[in-house]
Amino acid sequence: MIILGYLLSLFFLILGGGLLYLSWDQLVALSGTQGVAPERLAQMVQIAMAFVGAIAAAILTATIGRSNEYLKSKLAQSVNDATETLRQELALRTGKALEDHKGDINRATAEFTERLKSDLAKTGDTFRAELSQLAPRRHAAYHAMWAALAQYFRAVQKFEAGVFDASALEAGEKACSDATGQTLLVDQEDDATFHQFWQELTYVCETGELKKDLPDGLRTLWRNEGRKLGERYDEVRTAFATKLRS
Amino acid sequence: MSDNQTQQDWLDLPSVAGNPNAQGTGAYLDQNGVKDYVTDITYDGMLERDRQSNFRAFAWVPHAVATVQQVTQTKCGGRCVKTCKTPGCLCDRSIGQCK
Repeated sequence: MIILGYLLSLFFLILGGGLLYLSWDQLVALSGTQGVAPERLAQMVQIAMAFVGAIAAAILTATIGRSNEYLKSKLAQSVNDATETLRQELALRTGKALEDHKGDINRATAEFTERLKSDLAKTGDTFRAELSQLAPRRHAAYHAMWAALAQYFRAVQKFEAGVFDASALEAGEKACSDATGQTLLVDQEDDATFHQFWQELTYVCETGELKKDLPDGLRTLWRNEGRKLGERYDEVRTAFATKLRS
Repeated sequence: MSDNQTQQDWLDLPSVAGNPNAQGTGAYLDQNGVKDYVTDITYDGMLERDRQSNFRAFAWVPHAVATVQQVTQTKCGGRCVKTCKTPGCLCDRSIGQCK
């Protein structure tokens, strides 16, 4: 495009120069011996100046166009260079950061896994240790509850023979009271069973206390309550024994 | 005179006997036999409440024996003459039933 512009400029320069020469030559020939008239000369100078101005404008336009093209290409080159540099730098940094992160993640994962393994082993040990201590205590708690209820039941059972053994009943009551201190280690339903049967024994005991001085009072009480109490005794024993075997 | 059914064993506990500020839950039956609770109260505080309100029966259960939730959520029942063994349950002697 620029070359075409140059060629056109050159063509018009030659054409303009030729026309100027021909005009001057014709002007001299027409003027004859009297010389060139001043108005003709001024006309000629005006044409020449217009021609020179047109040439200057053409050169200036071409120069500016060339300069614009140059600047444009230079800018594009700079942008490309900068983009490429940035791209390379970004790729480098991304790669490095990725590698660093990968390393960090691997290191953290390894540390966490080790810590988890160690904690798990420790927890397992603790659990086993606690279980080895808890199991006998739990067994002892069930045993204490059952022993206390059985002791109280045997004391109440003497009503069958018309005997109100105050000291044995008191001991049974105390045994049950002491056993409550261990009920935290047993299942809630068994704690409830313990308290219910203790309540039933207490009811029969306190009723017996009211009737002990009546003729045949305790025997009558046992005839009314003994069978049911015996059945409950067996139920509680079965429930506790089942729990201890499981 | 109200029927104080607080178990002596609970009052003899070291954490209670040695600490007059020991907190517990009071369960009581009003004169109509309706049961209600007083939470976070000392044994002396419960005695004072009884003097003011004249409960039909009451019992104080220290937190060392049972929590407020345990006392208030316990299902009470069964026959009784004077006492009920489950913490927080009261013997309504007028009907011979634990409440």
